[in-house]
Amino acid sequence: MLEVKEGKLLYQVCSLLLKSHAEPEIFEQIAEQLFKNLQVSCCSIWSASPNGGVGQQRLAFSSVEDTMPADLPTLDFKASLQAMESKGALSCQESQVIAGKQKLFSLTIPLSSHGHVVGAICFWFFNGAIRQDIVSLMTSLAADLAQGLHNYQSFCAHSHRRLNKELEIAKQIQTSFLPKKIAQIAGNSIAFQSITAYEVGGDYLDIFQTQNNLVGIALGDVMGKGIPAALWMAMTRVTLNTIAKSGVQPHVVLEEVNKMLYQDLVERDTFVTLLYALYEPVKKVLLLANAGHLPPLVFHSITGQYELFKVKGPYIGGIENRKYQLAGVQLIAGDVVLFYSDGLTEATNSSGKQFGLSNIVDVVSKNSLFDAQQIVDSLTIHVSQYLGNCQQKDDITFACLKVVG
Amino acid sequence: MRIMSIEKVEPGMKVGRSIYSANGKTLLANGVKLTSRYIERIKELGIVVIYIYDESVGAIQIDDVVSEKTRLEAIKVTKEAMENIKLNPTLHLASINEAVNDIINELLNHCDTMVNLVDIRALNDYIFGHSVNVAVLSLITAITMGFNKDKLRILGAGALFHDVGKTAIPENILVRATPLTDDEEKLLEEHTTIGFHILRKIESLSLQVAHIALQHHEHYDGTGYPRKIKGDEINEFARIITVADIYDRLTSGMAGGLRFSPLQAVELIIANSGKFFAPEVVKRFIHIIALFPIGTLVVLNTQEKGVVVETFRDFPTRPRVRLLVNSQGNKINPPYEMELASNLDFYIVRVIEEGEL
Repeated sequence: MLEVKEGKLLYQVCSLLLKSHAEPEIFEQIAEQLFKNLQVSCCSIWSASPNGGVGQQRLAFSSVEDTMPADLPTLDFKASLQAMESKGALSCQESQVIAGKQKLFSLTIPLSSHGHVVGAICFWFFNGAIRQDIVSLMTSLAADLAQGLHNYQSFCAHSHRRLNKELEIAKQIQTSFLPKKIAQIAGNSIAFQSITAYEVGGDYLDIFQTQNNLVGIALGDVMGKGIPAALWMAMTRVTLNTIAKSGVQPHVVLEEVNKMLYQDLVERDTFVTLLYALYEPVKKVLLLANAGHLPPLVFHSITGQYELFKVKGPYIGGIENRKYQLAGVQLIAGDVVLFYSDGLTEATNSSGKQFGLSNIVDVVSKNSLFDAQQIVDSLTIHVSQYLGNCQQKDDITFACLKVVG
Repeated sequence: MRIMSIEKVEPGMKVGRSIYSANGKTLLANGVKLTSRYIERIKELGIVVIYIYDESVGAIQIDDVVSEKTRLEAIKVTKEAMENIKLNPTLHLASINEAVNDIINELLNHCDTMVNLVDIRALNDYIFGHSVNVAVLSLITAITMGFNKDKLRILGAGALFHDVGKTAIPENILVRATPLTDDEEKLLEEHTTIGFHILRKIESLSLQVAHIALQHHEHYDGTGYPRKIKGDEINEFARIITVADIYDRLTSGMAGGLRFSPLQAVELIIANSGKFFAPEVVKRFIHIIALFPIGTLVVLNTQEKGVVVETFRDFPTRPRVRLLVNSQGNKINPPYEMELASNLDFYIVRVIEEGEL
């Protein structure tokens, strides 16, 4: 049962939401209202990234001006991140932290709409008693607030980026397929980067561990863009995953994928380039089969030389029942292998020049002593710097394997 | 506080960190409001970047690997020693040893700090500041390589004196930006042997120190000078000094006028690992340098903008960033901080070299 005061507050917040036409200021007003009426020390509202990929944004932050510790905004960010990752329907998380000399208590509530976490709301207070009033108020308010956030996000997606629904879905499909977490194996480091373009391309990257503890790396590119490309990508991924998980040799995997997809691809007049590499972390052997994708770069640490690891093969959907070749390379500590899509080599700057292989070689060799993650980050910085203000036309995807010890 | 190129600095801005002359005197104290005359003077001195106080960025703590006091003291004693060394070879060694000891002790106490040094020292008369920088850089590297205190002391003294032979080279060859003639080039290369002969006569100095001066321009692949020795033939201390020396010359703009960012300098050093530089030294060295020094403005993949506030040895490309502007271009108030190392979805895509937030 809500108290009168809370009922009034609920009414105020809901009417604010109703009146709004998805202006961001509305959330500042709501936070201000909640902050004042609930007598908390700080209240903040966070929006999760609208396309499920990266980034969250703080929409509102109201706090007592002077008495708050300086690192509260940072703690607040961490708490909201945790709340959004917990993905509970309406779970209240209570925690206490020591900020400066003061003990602070937080109550964070993830906000979900249509099964997706769209944001979070955080309250901070000095008094440690459980604030039943906040919990009961938020129980009634969470759904409305989540709907408001959802509306705001859709509005932003439409107006700012002119993203239409179709592209948004395609992007969602694509980002949700990227490897979530890479199993790090002692003595090797693996990292990847995928920078999606405004118009979604059909890049596909997967890194997984097979049943016999080898590392599978698959990189492909579907002809075309948008929803169709995303769907073909999904199909390729499922097919390859099913076959490759048991640890079969790469050329067999590609043969099977081609067999299963050939008919459909030919009928739709499209094709997929795909490479699949299998890495043996103990003996440090890399096996590779390639169906028309760009050859990976191999850097030899001892000589300082690089080579393109070329293996010939027609693309998936090219020739029916075609056998693929298998090739292998023995790696040693310090060697770096880079898998990449044509979005990287063909990234074009304002003067019409492409990033090209020479730049990639340059960046990787200049960073070859770092771990995979640093090499990937450096390459990202260099390619972004190169693009400057130019719009990226195609997805840029690459993965790096570094033999460390 | 943020790093700003001197070209972008305007009258009315406040100095975020004191500016020192090459011999360690304070030129402009922290907090001083810049006038156009001050700015002109800073440019004349060859200083290319300074820290500027910026309200929107807020205060940032920079933990120096070596305190300003110790550093200035070291510059002072190095200058005195180098200027008198030919007249009075036994001199001031006690004060040099003391300076080296102070640096070593401070470094051992801050063993996790990274080098965030964006050096804001005047370029003319730079040699003494450079010697101290090389000492700090090579000592941190040696500490990560597991050197004991005795070896660190030799290395420290060697670093401070590695360019002592330059005191015998004509000034116009040392500071000239235009290319040197072959003869002048030869003369400049002489500074290694001259330094060796000065130092080896000083009885209380280890002979290793003289060898550091002799060999600090030898290359790992045998293409250096004066003796063209290679690999393990090169003194182990000299191999470290070579890397620290080139890093400081690149980032200070001593080497040919162009000033390298830490990222560019580190990339150049890695690219020449095994060629000019000993790989085992490079491997250690690159982890002590902050690629994005504290105070650098960066753009993240989310189009958010922020300033680097803390750096970590294990994650050179992923510092702690204070977010200042959100993806829509609105100011974030109050700003919050994010560790890129634990938020892998966020990464730096660009460094803002100029202009406003």
